[in-house]
Amino acid sequence: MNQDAIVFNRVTKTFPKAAKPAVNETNLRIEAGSFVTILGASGCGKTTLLKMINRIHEPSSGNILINGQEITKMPLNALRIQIGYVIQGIGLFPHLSIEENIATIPKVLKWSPKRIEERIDYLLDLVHLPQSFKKRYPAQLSGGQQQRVGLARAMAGDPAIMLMDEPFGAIDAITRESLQDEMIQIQKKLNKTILFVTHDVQEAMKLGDRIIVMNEGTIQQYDTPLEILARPANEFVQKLVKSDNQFNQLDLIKAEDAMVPIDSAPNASSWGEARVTGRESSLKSVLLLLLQPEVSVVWVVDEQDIPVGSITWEQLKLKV
Amino acid sequence: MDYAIKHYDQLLLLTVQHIFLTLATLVIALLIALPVSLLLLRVQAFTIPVLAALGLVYVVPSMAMFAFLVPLVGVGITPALIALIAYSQLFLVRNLLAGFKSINPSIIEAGRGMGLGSLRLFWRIELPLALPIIIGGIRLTITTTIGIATIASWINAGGLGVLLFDGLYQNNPAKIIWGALLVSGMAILSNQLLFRLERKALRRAKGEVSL
Repeated sequence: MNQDAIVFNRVTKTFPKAAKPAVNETNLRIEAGSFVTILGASGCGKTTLLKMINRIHEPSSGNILINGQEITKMPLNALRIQIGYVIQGIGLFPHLSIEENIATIPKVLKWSPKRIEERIDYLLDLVHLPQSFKKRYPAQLSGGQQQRVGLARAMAGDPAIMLMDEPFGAIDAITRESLQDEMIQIQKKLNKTILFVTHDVQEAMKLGDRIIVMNEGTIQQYDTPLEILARPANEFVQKLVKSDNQFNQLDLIKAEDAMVPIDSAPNASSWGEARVTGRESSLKSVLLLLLQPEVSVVWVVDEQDIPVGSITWEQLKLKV
Repeated sequence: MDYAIKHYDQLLLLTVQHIFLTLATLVIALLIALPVSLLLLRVQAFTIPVLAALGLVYVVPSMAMFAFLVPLVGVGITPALIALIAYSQLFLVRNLLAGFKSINPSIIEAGRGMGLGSLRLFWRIELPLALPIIIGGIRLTITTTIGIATIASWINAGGLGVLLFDGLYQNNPAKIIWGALLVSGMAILSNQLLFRLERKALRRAKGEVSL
């Protein structure tokens, strides 16, 4: 068996009374531990594709395997318990406190109260919520905070696979960005397989190791963000990802895709402000730094402020 | 007052009969309304015809209903229960449906999606969230049942109506006053009690704001 977490074999889904299938003859392999975003306009079948994995929708034909096992051969709720599920509507239980919400699945799994409490503490830290929120109720939280709880609740049973259906779609732009950053950190840390549906090109590029571009029930391209930008498979993909100005396009490319990796650290004091933090930083922020006087090279540093690569004008130009 | 002291045993008996008739109606009516409502939530197409039929039943005057039932099942508690249960269905089914439909669909989707079984989902999530509206239906049911049960004494079902009818026939104001006092007291009391329960359930369903 290879390392595929999710496999689609010729999966078609046609809803009753629909003229065209929502998802058409789709084959797909999602590698374990990868962060895959599904990008497309509304009605393209991206949500249907996602919701067939936890059997909210059943395929009309074809089959789906997770970790090599066909999902229809497992008891329904046993399948769902091993899959974290986060939706745009969040769906916290309003009559239960934050800790009770998070404890829902651990209680079904009959964990000991001590283990559940430790898990809640750990998850609240992970999603950056204060421990004092435990006894609060969902209505007392902001939308962004509620979705953090939604995320913690979905991860409570430590599922290896997470399905996320436009989870940040209803959240304000500033909060959405920090949630995206945290999502990347969480995935790095816990190595979950994440499938993330979005209609936001920027979000898909930022989060995904690979992106599935969908249109009219068919996968148009399944590739890394850089490949999709550099070599769109067809006109549809090109139109979708091609920004009308190059400045916006720079926002879609990560620093790590343009940098020259380095292993020895140059004298840190000489950098001044010419550094960006994180391999996922966009080339837009790199460009802004390069435009400053006296800056000819931008250093990419990791979270510990250790340099991992450098970007110059020449390297930046190559990517545009 | 003298009357109450002299006949306290009869007053007590009739009150207990009245309470029993009301509670029996409520329990049996709920046992019918709950599965009916859950079925209607699955088969939406039947909702409107069923509610219309229950509405029709509700507007049949109680005297006519009893007169219709007596030839079929005789007099006594049986026709009274049948009629009262039939009247109860409108408020109960309507409010059960409204209660379950008031739940944000995202909550149900999240619950199902994370792997909660349908029984657990029903008891832990759906019922507590629908409860305020359901209790509202129970409140209406109980107050109308207490009222209509008074008339049921006309077909020998007992209860405080006996006092009222006797009072009318015998031109005995003490009986009329005590009967009316007890019936309305019972109705007001249960209305207040359920109203409090309803508010408590609502606070719980919204997540109590504990500061």
